[in-house]
Amino acid sequence: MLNDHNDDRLVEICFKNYYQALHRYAYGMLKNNDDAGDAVQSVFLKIWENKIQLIEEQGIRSYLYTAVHHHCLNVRRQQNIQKKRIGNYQAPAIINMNQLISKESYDRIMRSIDQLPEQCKQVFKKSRFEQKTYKEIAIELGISIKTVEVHMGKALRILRLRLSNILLITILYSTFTCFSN
Amino acid sequence: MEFSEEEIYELIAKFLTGESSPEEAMRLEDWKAASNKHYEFYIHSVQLWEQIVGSVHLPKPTDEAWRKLRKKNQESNKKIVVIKITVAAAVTVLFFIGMLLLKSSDRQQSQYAINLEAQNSYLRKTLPDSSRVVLDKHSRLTYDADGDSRKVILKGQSWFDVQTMNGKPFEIETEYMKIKVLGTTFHVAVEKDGQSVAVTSGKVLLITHHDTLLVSANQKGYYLFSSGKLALHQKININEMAYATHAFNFEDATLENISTELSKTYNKKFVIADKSLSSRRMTAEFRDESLEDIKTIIANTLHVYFKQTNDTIIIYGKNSD
Repeated sequence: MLNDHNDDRLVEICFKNYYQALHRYAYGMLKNNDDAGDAVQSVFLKIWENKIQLIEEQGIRSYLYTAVHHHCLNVRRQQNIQKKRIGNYQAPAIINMNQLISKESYDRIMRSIDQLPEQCKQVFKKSRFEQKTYKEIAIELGISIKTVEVHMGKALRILRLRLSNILLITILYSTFTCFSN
Repeated sequence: MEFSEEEIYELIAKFLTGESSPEEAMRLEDWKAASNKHYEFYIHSVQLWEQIVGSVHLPKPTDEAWRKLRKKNQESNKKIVVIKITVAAAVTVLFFIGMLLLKSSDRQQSQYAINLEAQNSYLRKTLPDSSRVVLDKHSRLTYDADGDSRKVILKGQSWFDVQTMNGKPFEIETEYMKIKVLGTTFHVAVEKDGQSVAVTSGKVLLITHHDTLLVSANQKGYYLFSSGKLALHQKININEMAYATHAFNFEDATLENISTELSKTYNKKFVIADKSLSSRRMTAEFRDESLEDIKTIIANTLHVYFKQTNDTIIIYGKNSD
């Protein structure tokens, strides 16, 4: 008698608790806000349709993260198949020349990337500009995935230390534009 | 969880490039939630990353996304046959540790709030919404309801039998957790090393930053002070809430154990006159029986007799034995 209503509440509470975090996780994998939203929605839709049984077995959070992970891997696999079908010709997704920051800041970022230690730079560029996975990068450069991880962490650290003032400028700039609008 | 600076940069980089396993993503979540400093570190890294990459994570507002999901579910419900499963009642226990302390301190009470305080005896009360509570000794509770919510702030231990009211959730705040209830029976206790929620009917969902756990009837969810983790116990001891339910389960229990439990519930001191009686054992279930009846059953089973003086009950062995 109470069942459906309470299942709904359970789904609602889980959704509201985890939506933002799961969306962030999916966004990392799919690099697209809408796709990430769809991924989280389909995971929850599946839980709802199969009722709660699915999540009773294991911890809910761990179930949700794993389900989102699998879903995103599937989406990526399909995207890759499609890409191959269209042909390898595809302009590398040149990143929408950064509406977030000024030309000066963009140049500074590029300079900082160029100043990274050699292998670190190579790894970072393959990840950042060619959208390669850690595994692809490891194979291309003949290094281990763990080494790719270390280089990526190092790149983030160096860039964060060198570029932290860009952030400040951007925040001030956007605050300013907010107020002037 | 502690990470070196290198490890945390690697973890964040993996997360942002979409390389994290679910476990790594959760580990980062936990790390982020552990302190404001961690959170700011993470946000700063993300902002920098987004500047470098030139695209921003921008999820729809949660409520909007939720409405979309609900609509989709309603559409698909028309197509599938809904298989009913036996979820008697779902109760949701949300832990918002920390945040909660802040929240409860500045909560304003309406003029209709009810304050209950149990001192040296249990307090049995039916709330205005017909939910029943039995407040353990030295515990306090405030109940406050308005048009769309029912809220309880609990200090100490209490047993609850919550009446379902559609669309009007029942929330309990304790020092350690927030409990959202839809209608079920359970017992919230503070134990030596954690806070526990023992469910006798319905279901309870426990959520912390680190963990989530669904607790069904006859299970006990346990929040451990030491690790901040949740653990599930497959058994509950209904004697722990006997002060509220007057239900006991004694399985091969010694007379000493039995008298300890009875003394807690009935607020009487039990003294075993002859120590050799302490280890006599019996198995019995009592459901809402009077103390007199329980005494009679014990007397017949263990060949003892009871003498009562004021608030002390003395147990003697029968000489004929």
